[in-house]
Amino acid sequence: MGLLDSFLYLMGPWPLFLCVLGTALGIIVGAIPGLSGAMLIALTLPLTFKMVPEQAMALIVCMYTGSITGGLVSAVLLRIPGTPSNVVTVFDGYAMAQQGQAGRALGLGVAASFFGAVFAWGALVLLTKPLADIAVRFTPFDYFALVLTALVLISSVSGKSMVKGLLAGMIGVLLAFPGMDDNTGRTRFTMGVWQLTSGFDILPVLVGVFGVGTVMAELVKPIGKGQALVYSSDGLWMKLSEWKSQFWNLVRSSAIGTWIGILPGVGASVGSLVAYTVAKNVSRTPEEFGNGSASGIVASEAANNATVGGALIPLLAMGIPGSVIDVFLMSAMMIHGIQPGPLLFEQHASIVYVVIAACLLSSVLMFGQMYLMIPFLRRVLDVPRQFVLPLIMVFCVVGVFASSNRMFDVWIMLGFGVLGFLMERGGLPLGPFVIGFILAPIAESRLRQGLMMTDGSYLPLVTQPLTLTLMLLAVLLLFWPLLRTLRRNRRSRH
Amino acid sequence: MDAGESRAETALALLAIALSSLFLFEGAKLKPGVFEPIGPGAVPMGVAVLTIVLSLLVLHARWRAGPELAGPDNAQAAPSERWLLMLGMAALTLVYAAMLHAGLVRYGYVTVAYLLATFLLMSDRVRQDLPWAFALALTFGMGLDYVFRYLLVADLP
Repeated sequence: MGLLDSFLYLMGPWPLFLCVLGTALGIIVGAIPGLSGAMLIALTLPLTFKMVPEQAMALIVCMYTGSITGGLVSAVLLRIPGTPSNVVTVFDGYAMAQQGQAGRALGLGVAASFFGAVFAWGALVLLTKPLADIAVRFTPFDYFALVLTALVLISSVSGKSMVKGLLAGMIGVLLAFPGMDDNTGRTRFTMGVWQLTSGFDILPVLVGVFGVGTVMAELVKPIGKGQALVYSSDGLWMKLSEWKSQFWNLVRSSAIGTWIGILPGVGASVGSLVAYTVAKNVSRTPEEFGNGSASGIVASEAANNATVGGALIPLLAMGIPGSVIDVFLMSAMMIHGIQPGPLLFEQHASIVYVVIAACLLSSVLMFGQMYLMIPFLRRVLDVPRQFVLPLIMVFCVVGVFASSNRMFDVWIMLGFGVLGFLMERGGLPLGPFVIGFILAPIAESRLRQGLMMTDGSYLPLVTQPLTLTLMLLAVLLLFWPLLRTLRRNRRSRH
Repeated sequence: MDAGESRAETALALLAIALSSLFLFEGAKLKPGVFEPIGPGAVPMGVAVLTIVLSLLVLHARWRAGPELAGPDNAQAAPSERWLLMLGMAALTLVYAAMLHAGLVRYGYVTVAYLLATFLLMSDRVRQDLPWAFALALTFGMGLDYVFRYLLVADLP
């Protein structure tokens, strides 16, 4: 199945229904502060078991796109970002809404989101196959170095402290080890618990950390309801003159978002922040930023949606998740018996093309649905949490139980829920944790594979050009904060 | 960072050290593979050592910043913090999971009871919310039972 066939496939009644539903649910959950797309997808994963893989992937991609955009509504109307990627939108979106232009702020955001998503889709189509062709030639050491760099990169950018980011990643890596060792066929670190022979299943871990952990955090420290502003639909459709005046901002911010999306694990929050900063720096009226600037909203929303397509590139080409939500997509593939990685194009081309097609379709659906749903979303924000949170817990329990028909996984999920809650409270980012958890087995097996090929010699780590480059990059990323601090100290002394 | 958050950070660092020590202990017992140079214990033990170092760095930073950040002013929890509510919810969830584990009562009935109890636990106006809570608990409890048992063919208790 090629790309065109994939589009035609998604136009079928059932796949199209799933795409429409996925995008709508993503928008709704994204709009509700405290709930995230990751949580929605974690709860949906068990329901995808009965679907064919193509439909499951399409549904998840649509939820992903919808959730990134949905947060715009609460950012503009409540001054609370629905998702972390909408934090920057709050600065100008809420200020513009305060000036009685809530409709215009939302319209700019939706249009910019659409542009960013379509721009990144272009990059996804153009870059994925060539990158996969290169990745097929990677040696085990190259792959190990790539995973290591990805882990260091995500640890260094997610969260305030790099040490905490790394610690979160290492805890994730550590918890991925129990179970059967593929190389020797022996069990390890199971502590005598036979249910752990196959290790911690990915679903209880993800649902625990993102579902149960989020509910616990929300119970202890609820996100306030915010001061809702009056919504008027005036200016909801972006004018041609605005498209023209914002064109370069849209292109630049989308390119930044796409590039940041490609970097493993970095994600939408950083993308929108960098695009916003650049837009402010090149603007002739930087003083307007933070006071209801149209350019600020456009930069933030174009970039955060562009990260969706960008983040899919390393996932489809190399099996490295570009963002936390990509971990769920990767898990869904693994649950359906598909091994993500450079051979995905050769072995499961139909999945790749369906994901690419769903990425564009979800952008179009998001564009239409946002305009239709904005008045309704305003009311969704008022849904009482007392009804939402217990329902999420019930979905977590039944979803995890149904996936394996064993209560052991439910207990594991609750345990990981407590861990996720503690991590959120303690300021340890969840992104490195889940990416460490999912990438650790790959990194270890590639390293051991490489060492078997070289009779235990570590020399290829420094003699193979790509491996060496990636290792140096990882070291640089690791020590960059330290070097920056030293340089700052020296400057302040002078 | 308030006192609760700094306590969570310390607890996590200690938990990570304990977990890593367990991995070091268990890893040392693993024999190296016959055909491969490093065996199944080497990488996990390396990661465990790294985790201990990072945890110690976090604890050190907390110890240095301790008095200012976790001082008496910050020790008072923010008014919105509802620890008791969270603990109540956690207790109900544990009972819910235990009931499902025991398999004595049908999934739908246990879920209706759990939802009703948690809805009311979180409610500020129990009397007014009771009809809504009951209707929602019944709909979702029995609805999920039907969907998962008959449509998704899950072997629910």
